[in-house]
Amino acid sequence: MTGGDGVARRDLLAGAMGVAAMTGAASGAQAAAPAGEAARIITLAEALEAAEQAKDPDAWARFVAEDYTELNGHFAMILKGRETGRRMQDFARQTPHKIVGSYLSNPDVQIFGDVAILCYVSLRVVSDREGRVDPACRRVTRIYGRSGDGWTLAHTHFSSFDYVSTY
Amino acid sequence: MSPPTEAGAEAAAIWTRWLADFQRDSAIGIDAAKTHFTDGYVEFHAIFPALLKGRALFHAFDGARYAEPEHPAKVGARPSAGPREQLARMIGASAVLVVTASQSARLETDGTISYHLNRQTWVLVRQGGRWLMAAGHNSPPGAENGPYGHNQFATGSLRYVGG
Repeated sequence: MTGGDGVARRDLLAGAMGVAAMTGAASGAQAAAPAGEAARIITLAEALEAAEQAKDPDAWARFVAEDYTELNGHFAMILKGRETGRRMQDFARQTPHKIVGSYLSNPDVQIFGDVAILCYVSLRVVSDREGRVDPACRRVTRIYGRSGDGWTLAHTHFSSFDYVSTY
Repeated sequence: MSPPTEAGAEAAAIWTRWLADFQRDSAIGIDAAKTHFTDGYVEFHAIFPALLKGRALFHAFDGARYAEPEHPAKVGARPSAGPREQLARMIGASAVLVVTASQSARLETDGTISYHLNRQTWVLVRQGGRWLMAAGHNSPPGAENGPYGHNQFATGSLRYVGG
């Protein structure tokens, strides 16, 4: 396959990887802390993750819009509604797993009027019933809508790294 | 979940129109990334671990990623496309959120048919009177098995015993 300018596919891929490597190098450097509304969005996401870590479904639900939707790795379908999400958080209380630590890595916030797009990698450590500890990384996109003076979470898409493409 | 609203219908119409414009421009060789995406477009893609950021990166990657069944330029155009659930809604007056879960079938080289489930999130924003794609997230289900987003069956080198 060739690109529009006749560049071979492997060259396109090599170019993409090169840019990606540069992007990764840049993101690895000490970046200035997001300010203003971007920082506010990150704080909201940290609070939401803290509610998950505390296994507190009601605290979790306070950050979420009534028509919230979610895509995650556990369920194949679109999860619809705040109550569905709250129930999922409630079910998590029944499991022996605990989130030992949680960190938002390289958060990226873009705000366009009444919508904010937050992308980050969630770095977690999870312990199971036997006390074994696993790293738990997932890629997260959160979409916030402006609601009065604040922001409400409209949608989240989670995906993990351990997918092997069949394409 | 609320029944479909006028806002939902408006969002779906904007998405459909954007998709048609994008497909048309891609088909006739117009630089669709330049004309239909924001400068700072971001995407988490199924097969690439880091956040893809910037229209230039998208453009460089586009030649390879176009081969995927769920590329926006092909959505709805593949004869093998299966059932699709799609939710579109307005976020304020200048953004559209589209969430889809879809199935596609693929004819393999050995003559068998394989089925693929995929899910996408897309965000369109209005800038300068035009609707532009600002963010995407594309992933299959089933990679996370643990209750907190970890693969409890993973046996990678990072696993260790706590205590």
